[in-house]
Amino acid sequence: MKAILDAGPLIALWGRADQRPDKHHEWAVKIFAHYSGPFFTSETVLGEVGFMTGCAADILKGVAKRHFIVGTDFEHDFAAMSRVLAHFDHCDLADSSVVVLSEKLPNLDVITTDRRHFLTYRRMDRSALPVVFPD
Amino acid sequence: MSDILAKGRTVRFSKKLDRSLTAEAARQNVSVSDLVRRAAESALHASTECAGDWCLGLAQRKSPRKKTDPELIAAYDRRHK
Repeated sequence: MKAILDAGPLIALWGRADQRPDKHHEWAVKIFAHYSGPFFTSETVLGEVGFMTGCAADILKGVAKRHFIVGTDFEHDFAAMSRVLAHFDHCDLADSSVVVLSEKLPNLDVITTDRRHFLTYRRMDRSALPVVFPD
Repeated sequence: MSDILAKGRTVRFSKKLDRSLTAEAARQNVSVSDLVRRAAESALHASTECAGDWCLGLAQRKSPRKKTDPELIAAYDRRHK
C-alpha cells in the first residue's frame, strides 16, 4: 500500500545517529510491515532523515530503487509550498512539502510521528490530512 | 538473462530443455523467445523487494553511520518534542 512519508517514521525505524533510543521504534516497525510502499516524500524530508540517522547513502539507494518517490520539489511546487508556509506559522519546509504532497495525492495516508503539527495542517480545500500517528 | 535478451544475443539451451520450452511455447501459442522473456521478467518482478520490507531490512543492519552534529539533532528534538 502506497503512502506519504514524513521524516519521523524512518528516523524511528532506522535509529538516530546519536544512538539514543526512539520511543516510536516499535510502532515504526509495525507501520513498515503494514505499508508496502512505495513511499511518496520530498528531498527535504529525506534530508532530515539523512542527518538524523546518518544513512544518507541508503536514502539515495532507496530513491534509485523507487522505494522513495520524490513527489515535490522547490522548483515546481514553490507556489504551493509558499502558500502552506505562509498560512501556518509553525510549519517548516519539510512539513509544507508533505502537505503539498497530500494535496497532490489526497487518498494516500500521511505517516508521521509529528502529531502536534500535523493535526493542525489543512489542505487547500480545507480538508484535514489523512494522518497515521503512533498510538 | 534479461540483459542477454535485451542485447538480442542467441541463447542456446540443452536439447531436453529446448524440447520442453518448445512444447510449452506451443501450448501457450507464443514463441520460445517470448516465453523466455516473460519468464525472465516474471522472475525479476518476483525478486523485487517492496519498499516496506527494504526499510525494515535496513533497520537491522549494523554498518557504521555518518556522524551528525549534535546541535542539529538537539534542534530537531526541540521541534518535535
